[in-house]
Amino acid sequence: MQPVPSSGASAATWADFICLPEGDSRELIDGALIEVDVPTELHEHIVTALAAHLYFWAKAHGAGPVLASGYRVKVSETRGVMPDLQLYRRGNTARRTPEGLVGGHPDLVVEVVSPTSRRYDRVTKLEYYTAIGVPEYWIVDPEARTLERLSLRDGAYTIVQSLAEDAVFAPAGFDGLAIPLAELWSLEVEE
Amino acid sequence: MTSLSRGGVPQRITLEQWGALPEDEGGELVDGRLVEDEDVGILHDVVVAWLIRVLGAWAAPRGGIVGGSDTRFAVAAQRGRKPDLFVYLDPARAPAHGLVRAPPDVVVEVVSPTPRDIRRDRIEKLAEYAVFGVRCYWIVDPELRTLEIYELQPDGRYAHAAGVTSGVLARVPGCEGLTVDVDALWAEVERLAPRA
Repeated sequence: MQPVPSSGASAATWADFICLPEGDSRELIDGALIEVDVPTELHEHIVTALAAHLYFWAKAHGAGPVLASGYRVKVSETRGVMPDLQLYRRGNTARRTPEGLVGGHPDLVVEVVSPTSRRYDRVTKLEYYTAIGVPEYWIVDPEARTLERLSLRDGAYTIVQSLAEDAVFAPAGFDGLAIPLAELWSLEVEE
Repeated sequence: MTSLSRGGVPQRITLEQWGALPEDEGGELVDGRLVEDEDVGILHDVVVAWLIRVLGAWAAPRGGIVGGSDTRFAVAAQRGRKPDLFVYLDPARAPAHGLVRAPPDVVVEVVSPTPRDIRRDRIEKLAEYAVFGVRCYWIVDPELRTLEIYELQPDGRYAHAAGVTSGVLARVPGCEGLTVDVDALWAEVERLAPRA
């Protein structure tokens, strides 16, 4: 899983990335197309649960859209990713095209880590999201049952909250949002 | 899970009692209870040794001092931790004997990507070292090949100051004049026999 650009050939670019067929989940990591994330059932459940919480929060607060997994974000000509979740607040002037975000940044990005994506989510993508100025980055680890909330301040992410197990996540800046983390770790959907 | 247990019920001990345990008695103190140390192996120890050499060579000419693994730190009222590596730029701040109550300038934890390590090192210890006042917290994962450096902010929270998977970290936040050749660290690790 090392990001090794194919030798001799020129590096892959944003244009190559957005031409990948639907269902190709590779991301553009420093000029190489890499399958960062191989989602499991639990991974998809967590993305869905968080998307539901964020969608209804956004709807009640005039924010949105909330986009899951497949929407591409351009970081540079040789860097492009597909965050597990992204949220845009009202007034965000990011330039979204049908193929992907080509300028600006989402207001929130969430990555649900997997064994293969962990190093990308914690180092590579963290650097990317810093570079484009994503103000808020949540890292969810299904195996460890943790959620870390990072907030961009003076060009660096500060860890403003780190929670585990059955804590209730009520992030500042998301008035009224309260996510019981216990909902994330189990596939059971309870009333 | 604890060695100080009576009839299966862990006995609560104070920080002072923990600090006075015999040297060969393992464990960290979490809310008054003795919790067994991380399960380490040669990979962990080789990385710690490599970092001690690099940080030691940097700290020595600056009057600093580097230590490893078995020192007991009183990080909070009922919490005691034994970091893998620590650096004091002013060694006079640290007592030669007993429980240490002065936060080091740098603490390093060498971790593995297991749920238990993630919880302990990224959630629990990160919060504890922040309150304790450790200026720089390094998390090194030789299996993931990641080195992350967190720097304490005036508001008492850690900011992600550096994160690398390869190459040379030419400027290390919080350690002026230090360079860390991350490729060389992984090359050291790769000299070990691969997992069977």
